[in-house]
Amino acid sequence: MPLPALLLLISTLLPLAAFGVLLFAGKRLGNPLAGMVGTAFIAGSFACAITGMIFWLSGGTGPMAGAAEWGAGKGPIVLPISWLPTGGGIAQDHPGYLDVGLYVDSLTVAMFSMITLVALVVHLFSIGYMAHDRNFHRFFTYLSLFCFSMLGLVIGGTLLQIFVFWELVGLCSYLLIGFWHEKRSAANAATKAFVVNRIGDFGFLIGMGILFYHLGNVSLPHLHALLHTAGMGGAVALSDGTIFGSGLLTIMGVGLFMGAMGKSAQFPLHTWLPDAMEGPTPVSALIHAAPMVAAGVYLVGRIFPILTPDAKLFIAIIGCATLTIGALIALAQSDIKRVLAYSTISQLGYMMLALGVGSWVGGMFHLLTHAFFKSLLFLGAGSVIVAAGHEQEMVRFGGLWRKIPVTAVTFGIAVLAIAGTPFFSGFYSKEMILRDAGAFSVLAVDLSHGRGLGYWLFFILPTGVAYLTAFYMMRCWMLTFWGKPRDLKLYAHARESAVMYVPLVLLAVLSIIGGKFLGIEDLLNWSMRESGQYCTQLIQKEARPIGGGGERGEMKFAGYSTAWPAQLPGEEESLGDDELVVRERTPSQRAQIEGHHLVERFAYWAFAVGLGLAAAIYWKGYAVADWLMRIPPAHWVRNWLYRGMYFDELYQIVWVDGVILGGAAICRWIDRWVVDGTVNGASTVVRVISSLAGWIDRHLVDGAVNGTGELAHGVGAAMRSAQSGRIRLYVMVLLAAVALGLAGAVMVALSG
Amino acid sequence: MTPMLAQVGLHHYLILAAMLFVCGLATMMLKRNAIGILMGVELILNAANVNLVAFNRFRFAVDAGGTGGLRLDGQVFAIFVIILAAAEAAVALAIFLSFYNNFTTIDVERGTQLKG
Amino acid sequence: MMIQLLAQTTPQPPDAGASAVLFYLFAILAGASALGVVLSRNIVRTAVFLLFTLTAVAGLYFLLDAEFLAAVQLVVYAGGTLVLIIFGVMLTSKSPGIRYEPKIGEVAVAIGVSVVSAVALVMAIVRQFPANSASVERHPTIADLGQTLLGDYLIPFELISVLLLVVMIGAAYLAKARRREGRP
Repeated sequence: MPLPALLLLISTLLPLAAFGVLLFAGKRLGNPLAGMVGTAFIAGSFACAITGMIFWLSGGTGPMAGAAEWGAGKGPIVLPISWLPTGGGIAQDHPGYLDVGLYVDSLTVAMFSMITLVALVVHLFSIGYMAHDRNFHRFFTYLSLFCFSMLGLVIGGTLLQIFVFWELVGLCSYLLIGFWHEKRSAANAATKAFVVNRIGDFGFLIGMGILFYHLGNVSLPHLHALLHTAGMGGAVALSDGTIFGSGLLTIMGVGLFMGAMGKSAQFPLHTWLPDAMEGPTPVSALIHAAPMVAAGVYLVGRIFPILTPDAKLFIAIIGCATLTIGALIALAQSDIKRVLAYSTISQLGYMMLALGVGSWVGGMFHLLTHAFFKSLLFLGAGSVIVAAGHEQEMVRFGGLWRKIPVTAVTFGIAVLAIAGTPFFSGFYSKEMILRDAGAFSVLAVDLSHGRGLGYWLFFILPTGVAYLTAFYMMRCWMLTFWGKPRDLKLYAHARESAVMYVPLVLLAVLSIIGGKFLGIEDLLNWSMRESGQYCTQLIQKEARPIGGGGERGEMKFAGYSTAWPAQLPGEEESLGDDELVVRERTPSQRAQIEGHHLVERFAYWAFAVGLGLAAAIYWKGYAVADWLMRIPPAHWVRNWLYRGMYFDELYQIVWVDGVILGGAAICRWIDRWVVDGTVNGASTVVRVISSLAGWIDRHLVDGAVNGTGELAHGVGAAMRSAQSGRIRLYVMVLLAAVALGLAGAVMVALSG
Repeated sequence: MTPMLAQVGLHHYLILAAMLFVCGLATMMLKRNAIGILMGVELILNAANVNLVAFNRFRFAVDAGGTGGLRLDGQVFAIFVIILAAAEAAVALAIFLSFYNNFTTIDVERGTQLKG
Repeated sequence: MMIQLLAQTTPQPPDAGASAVLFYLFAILAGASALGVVLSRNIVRTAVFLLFTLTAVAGLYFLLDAEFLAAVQLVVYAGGTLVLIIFGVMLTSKSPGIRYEPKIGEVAVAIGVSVVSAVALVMAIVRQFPANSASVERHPTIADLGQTLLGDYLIPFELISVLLLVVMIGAAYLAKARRREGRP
């Protein structure tokens, strides 16, 4: 096994070991030793991930399936293990397989570093945060299980494996949201998260089923190699002559995306995430800010090459709706964690939008940078909440910066990063997303000859939301840390604890340098090239071309494009040896430059406008805002947004009440017409038959029956003494008889 | 390791199944807890299943006349046995619950009212 | 063919030596836990030993190329039936650790019966079946199993489904009826 894969595998298994240790010995270890054990294991996991990344960057060759060379920009490590032969599959002579396996490329390595780092930081933070909890060890047990599941999800090489870990992650989320299950709201939130996620998983299963039916295999490299032409639109011809229709491909893609919608809290299924804030705050940082909710984005990133243009358009629409709704609702929240929750929803919408418009690098880039500053925001919020004696309403905060300066500064850095201030990490990723969204809109409007003006929404909405993001995050900061204290008693007791400094400062540094100096962008570009090269190798070994994408002689892994292919930075490089192509720009390159201009003109100053406006309005706490709220429509809008646009109420009416009413109506109908009718009809028939039978009975049967009865009575009286009623005696006799009979039979058989 | 040990064949599975069977017998005879007896039955059923699958693997799983299908009767029977075991456990436990509600014990020695 | 090419990238199943080692591992686990079932006096421990036996038998199914069966064993038996049994233990005992000791005479009878049947079975196996083992032409797949189950065995399959339904209703009735009478 190549070294990086081995290291990442160890990195995955260490949290499992921690889970085992804590499960059996956690109570004995107690507080705070249990937390330290968990932290030590995850620290080892982090060390392994970083070492793995170093070896990965140097690259190498190894005994491995398919590609001989692995390493950053060279090729992925693919280690399949065929597990269950299932039959079916696309070739008669080769049965389908359910595989498990590892798939390691630059994205995996980057995700590993991010997840283990955030997990480590959260573990450290939790030792302080949960210090007084009765179930201290249980908390760390769950955290370890979560880390294992999440890492297993990222390293998984097949959709099946991803699905299994996906569900495990969901289980951990359930356990951790409901960690304080004595609180009724926490228990309800956990159940809600679980149920809403199942709706998405249903789609995931459907998508996987379609793939499995047609291909007999759901491992990622197989899918990429067999369906790489899906991204161009149109049907895909498989090597056994069957056609995988484009409609079905779209349904498959949308199905898999539904899973991502549940996990990443996308628009119709987003309602569970704000409620999930009932869990302890470190959990929110670990699960509901970065690694877990990003799993949906990660999944879409992994299946990106096999998504059809229609599926991608669907994803872009959902992403666009989500980012707008999330940002709008975040404007009116008063609970600090709910602001962050809706902000997370909005940022996840950005990522989905990026993937939908074909900006794979942009989406994944934002996923990684967002992880840093959103965990920082949540941990900062946790610090505030501890300082404020478990109060979460911003109405009662204010002026806290004097009391908790480190939290205020680090939280402020995160606000700057999420607002897209230049030189902070969020700036680079958001700029890339907006640029590609702009390019997508330009191309789409061009291609539709000016009729598809609706496509401009894909640029206008995210740009507008960029202003809103800066505004609501700054509002959150101002209300918490600035102005006069609104609750003097709370203010007097507020102080921060030193245990929490390290995580906050570490994440703050990463939020600043994560954009440009950690090389995340390079890793992502390499990741694209790696899978492209791996597929090219697989396909070149094949004598005749498969699929319909053979226009270009070289296999470009053109799946990374929508119907309006936006040229991506990674591809410019790979085209480099062909001078001609670079000099005369393709339409998509032109569009990208145009997109860049659009961003420069409309979005660059979003952060300044948003931050400035929020600072101006909330300079003196709620004074200005309350004055604005006196204008009647503003008040209604605020209430509407405060209640989350009434999505929960809507779902209650449509789904819960609707199903109950409909079910009752159907039951009544069935009861009256089907059941009653059957029963009445049957009873009539039985009455007729029984009157016939009664005659026969009286005249023919009775005599025979009485005779038999007499006989049975006599035998019973004789056998009665053997019936002791002791079951075990019966068993003994029975088994002894069996043994004797067996022995006898064997002796007869062997002698004869 | 001698060749006999290294080459795992039908024998090994049958002997293991015999061991399981005998353990099941002993469990049924020794336990006074009704659920213990049920566990003995489960052991015996498992022994039978190991036999079925082993015979299927070593004696029967040949391609039936090139039709592409293998004879997997042993495995099918094993599946049926598993289902029946589940059904049996459900009914048995329901009975035990009734028994427990009547006698407030699960010791089968107490249930002697059926004697003639 | 593309598919064959991809198939080459999937490693072969473990060789005979490895599977022999695995067999002995599982066999010893199964046998030892079965003995544990017999000898353990605490009913909860007995259930745990039974769980190990069932899991080890699932491992043996894997070695016998019956992967689906192994999965069913794990899911239905170890996961379902055993949990049912443990529920039974919990529901029928105020103190699950309580012991019912068998009498000496019963132990003697049990040992005798067990030894007799063990000797008889082992003799029969060793003498009756030659040690050679036929090799399978190809690895059976779940598709084959599905064909058999829904082809030749369709009617038993349907019957057993009905049986399961009946059992479910019956068990629910049995377990519930008494309580209703108990509390009028």
